[in-house]
Amino acid sequence: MNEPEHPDDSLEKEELYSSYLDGELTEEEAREFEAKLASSPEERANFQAMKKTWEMLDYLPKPDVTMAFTAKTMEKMKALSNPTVAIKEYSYGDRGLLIAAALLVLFAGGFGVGSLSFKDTISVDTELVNNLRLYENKNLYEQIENIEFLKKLDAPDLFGQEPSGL
Amino acid sequence: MLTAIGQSSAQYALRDPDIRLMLRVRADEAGAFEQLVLLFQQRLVVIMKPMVGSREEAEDLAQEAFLRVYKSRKNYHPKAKFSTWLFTIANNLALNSIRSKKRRPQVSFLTSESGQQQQVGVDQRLPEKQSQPEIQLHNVELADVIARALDGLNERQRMAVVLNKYEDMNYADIAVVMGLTPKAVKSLLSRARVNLREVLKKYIYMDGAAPENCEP
Repeated sequence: MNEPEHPDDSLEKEELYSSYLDGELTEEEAREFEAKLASSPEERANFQAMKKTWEMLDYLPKPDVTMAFTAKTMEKMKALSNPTVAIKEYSYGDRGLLIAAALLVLFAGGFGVGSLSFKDTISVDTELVNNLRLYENKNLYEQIENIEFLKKLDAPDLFGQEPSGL
Repeated sequence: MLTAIGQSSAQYALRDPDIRLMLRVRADEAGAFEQLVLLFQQRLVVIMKPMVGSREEAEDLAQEAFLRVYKSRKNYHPKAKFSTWLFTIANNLALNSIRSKKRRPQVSFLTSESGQQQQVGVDQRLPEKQSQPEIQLHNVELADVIARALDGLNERQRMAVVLNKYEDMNYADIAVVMGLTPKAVKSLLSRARVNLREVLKKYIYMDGAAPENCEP
């Protein structure tokens, strides 16, 4: 009675069949393998089954590329290298859609800019209210050349004390 | 042109005419990219079809691969065979596409070679073990059975199989394309063959008598 085969042995054997079929064995390894096959009908049958399975893949028809494939690929390549080419090739219907899309973008953009301006107006108004006294004396402040001059104006010996009750 | 690309790249280019063509693409030579597309389009679609299931999708991915080649042409420096680089791009695109499909509902559309599209659940992909194959199974039907068997492999096994079978790539080149070691490729291909044999064993000897001691 035969000993049951260890799974690793089986795996190794299958890899050997596969490598032989793919021409990946050295000359010496191939010779050894062929001798083993010649002496074992069981191994020969297993190997033949694997070989036949591989040959069955030849039944699969290879798909032909559609006629338009090259043209479509070249068209996309041109669009990549020069994006304006793609626009030039649009039909009249597509151009109408493009114009409509552009108008929509312009409209949306205009609305965006308008709303931004409105926000700006609100923020300017708030600033004006908060600094009203500053703006009221703007002409006066413009006379002051720098901060040093302002500090000198504050010196008591320059103007003296204002009489009370004024 | 060769002096401008460095000595080792020049050596590659001398050996591989596809590299010379790609260098003409890099130099924006008129007609070179179209020549490249014409040269590789069929091969790319043949590789992509078993990966994604339909010719349409295979063509979309092949087109995307060509566009990526074009976009990165200025950074192209030959370090290996051109086809290895191209199929590396194709492998990444195919695997990304499969992964993104997996996130969607688990329903597969298998297109039969007769042109009919069938919607089947994952558990229905492989032929039933109990059923006996027809003696005179038509080649088209057999092709459908094989396509389903191939579809039953995981995506890495499938890619290794198509590169080996249809591009006649050795383990070292497949390893570069798939970012694996040659040993891992050997293991992938061996497991793929065992899985295919399991599924297709009923059909293997339909064209003649099974040899002695061979399980039908």
